[in-house]
Amino acid sequence: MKILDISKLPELKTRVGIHGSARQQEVGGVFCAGVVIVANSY
Amino acid sequence: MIVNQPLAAWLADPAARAATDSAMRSLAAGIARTPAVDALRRGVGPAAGAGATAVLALARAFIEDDAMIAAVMQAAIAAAAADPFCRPSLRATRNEVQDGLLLFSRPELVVQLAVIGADALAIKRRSEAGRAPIAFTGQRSLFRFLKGGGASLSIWTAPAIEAGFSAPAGGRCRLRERRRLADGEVLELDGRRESFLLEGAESDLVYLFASTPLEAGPVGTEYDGESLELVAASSTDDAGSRTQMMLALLRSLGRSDAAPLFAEQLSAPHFHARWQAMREMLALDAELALPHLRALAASDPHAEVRAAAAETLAAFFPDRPAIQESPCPA
Repeated sequence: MKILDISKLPELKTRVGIHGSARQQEVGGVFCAGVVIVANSY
Repeated sequence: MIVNQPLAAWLADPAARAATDSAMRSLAAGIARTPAVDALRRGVGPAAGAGATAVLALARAFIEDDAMIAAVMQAAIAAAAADPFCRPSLRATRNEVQDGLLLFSRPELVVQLAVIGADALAIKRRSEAGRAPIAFTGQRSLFRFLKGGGASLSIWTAPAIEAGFSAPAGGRCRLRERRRLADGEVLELDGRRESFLLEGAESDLVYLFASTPLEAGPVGTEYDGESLELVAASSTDDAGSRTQMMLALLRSLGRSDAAPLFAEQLSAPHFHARWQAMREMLALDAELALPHLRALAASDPHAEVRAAAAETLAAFFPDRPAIQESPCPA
């Protein structure tokens, strides 16, 4: 079985964090992985 | 936890704790029976079938129902007054500037009632030194500000977040207008291209918020508050992100028997989810993944996925002509 090292596989040029990632938490965006709550930049 | 005397007495009294539990259950049942909540619960499914506009129309009727808001809050206050250990049976939400209660939560719609503290907002804005980032959620939402707090509001626009979104096309956001927020104002935002920033307030804001993930863009975005350039993107899909984490776990466990699950995610609606599933599948079993990789390179609707797939083929399968492969039945 051929297995590739995932760290060596190409990424998309547009990097996308998972839902609720820290970057969005900083601005009061979707801030909890389980619950979609507050939008926008409070 | 510091246990004061009333709390210690309550903890030591099973009957008192049972009474509190009963009061909270009763409060939850009472809120669920509120005509507006009941109508929302019954209506959201059919509305979701009609799309985001219908869901937000239903939500608007709900958040504009002052009698509903008063009934829910009065019931919660009365229950707490009768028993200080009885908390509203609504999920609490909190971040550095706001505290809220979830009034309604379904996959198609979330509604919350919340307060934004003027002091907390001022501290946050001061710490940002005039460079508050501007976030676009990628989702459609509705705000009703019961108390506007005399807040200064700026509204921003950005290139629309669509299925083919890419960072280079994210461009810059721009200021559309700046004005004072009025008491009672209803603000409908398409988070795929619109956002707002509260720049300061004279007093606390009280608002109702409704948001639907239906017809959301693939990502939410964040723009730098000074350069106004795109700086970050994150998935709008909670379940999709959880699925990605589960694929990573299955891959790390070497569960090649789960390959059909990986293949299934290659047709996920969002481009980033498709490519991440492919990366995981290649790291699970590259031979099984290869026909699917070729398919992505040939016909994925997103240009970056096609390019990444082609780059992977060239780098890792340079001597494997496509004609030798047939799609995996998984």
